Amino acid sequence: MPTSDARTRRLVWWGTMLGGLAVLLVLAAVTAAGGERDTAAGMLTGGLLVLGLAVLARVRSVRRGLQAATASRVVGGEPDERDRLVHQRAAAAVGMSAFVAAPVAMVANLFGADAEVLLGALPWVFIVVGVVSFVVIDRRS
Amino acid sequence: MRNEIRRLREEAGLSQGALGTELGVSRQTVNSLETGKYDPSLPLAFAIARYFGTTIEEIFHADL
Repeated sequence: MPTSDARTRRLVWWGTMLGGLAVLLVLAAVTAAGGERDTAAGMLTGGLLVLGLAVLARVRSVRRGLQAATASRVVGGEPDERDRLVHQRAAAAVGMSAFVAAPVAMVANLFGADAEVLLGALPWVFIVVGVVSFVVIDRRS
Repeated sequence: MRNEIRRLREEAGLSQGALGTELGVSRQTVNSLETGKYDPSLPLAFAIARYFGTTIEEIFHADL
């Protein structure tokens, strides 16, 4: 029988997912209304894929519990204290990388790089930094 | 920080996964504790000491 803590975590997690879905649908609708139907479709596909993977991680972390992988427990909303530390340090690495990436992008723009391309590249830089730092910190701590 | 968790766990005949379940943490966390890669929070250190029926000072040794 789930404890009240587990029930709260479950409610928070599903609330976050529903909030994410609502934001995604609104963004896609606004984008489509602005005439960018292909962008809206891509946004919906990517967003739903991410939400689907999060649900998969939730199922794994609930079914396998403490035997699941660190990333599954974190994304699935059932982290233990070390998982939280790994997540916090990886998030800090992403934050620090923003301090470097933003000025680099600005200088690149001054030297003629396309601002739209730079803006599109920044999220990918942060995703790569986040994933790599998560894996490295997970292995080292 | 060095610790006696591996010795105590093996003396109790427990796997890392089983000890993790008893303490409410993952097998990876128990492994990281045993190898000294991760220092536990104070509540977890107390839980470990209580589980093995000893004190924190008997389990954890600061590398000074």
